[in-house]
Amino acid sequence: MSEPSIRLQTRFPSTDARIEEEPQLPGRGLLSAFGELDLHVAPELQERIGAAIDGGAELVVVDLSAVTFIDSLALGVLLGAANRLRGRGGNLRLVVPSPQLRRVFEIAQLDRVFALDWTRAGALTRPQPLR
Amino acid sequence: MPQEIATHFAHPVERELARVFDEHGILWEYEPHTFVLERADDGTVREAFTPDFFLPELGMYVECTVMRPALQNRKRRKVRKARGLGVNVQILGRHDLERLAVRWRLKRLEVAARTRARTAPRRPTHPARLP
Repeated sequence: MSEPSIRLQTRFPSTDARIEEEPQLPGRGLLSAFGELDLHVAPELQERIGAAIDGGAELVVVDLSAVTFIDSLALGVLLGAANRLRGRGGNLRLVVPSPQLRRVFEIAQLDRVFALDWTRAGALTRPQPLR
Repeated sequence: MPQEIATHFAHPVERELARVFDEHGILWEYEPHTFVLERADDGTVREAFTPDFFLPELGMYVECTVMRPALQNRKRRKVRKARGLGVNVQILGRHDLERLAVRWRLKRLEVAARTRARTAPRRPTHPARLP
């Protein structure tokens, strides 16, 4: 019987990790994340995305261009938000230009779940799926 | 000690995948749950499915299928049944693993994915934990 895995590296809270919200048209939310998205930042990420959804956003874009590390807890937050938005006919799009970060999504098989965009413009202008 | 060293894996590719999960901050458990797929009239279990990995922070199971095609088909049928029960399980076949390994230069995973088991690996017997 297995036990939870042990991370190979000890990680310390990142001091530069933060989430910023940028003004958008009604029905859209745009969040930018910076630094290391780990267990220290995941609750804030969840809260910010939740606030955007509660505020009526049907398209939420999370720009991960300035993210240097993401752990599975933060990935789980994004997954939960995507499921919540889908349940309302909405959509979560992720801007992931960094190959290192895309690698994490692919290894966790989440590239099958999320639509990953290379640019913010692409994420914001791509046609939305029909309801 | 890293969990991937302490756990007994049925196939080398599972050990390598666990190592890759560890390196990328993805929490995992090995074979923690067994799902009953079919019961006989008297209630005894006729068919069950134990996915290889559970990613607890993603609420997702991962099943590796690198064995002979005939056994792969049987596994894929089980995965379809499990999905029908609402289990979120992703299949990682030999080609998926090789593609992942080549794309991200995960040499050990690539070698392990090409290791063909001569017979179906026997799962260690343990009491099934139903989620």
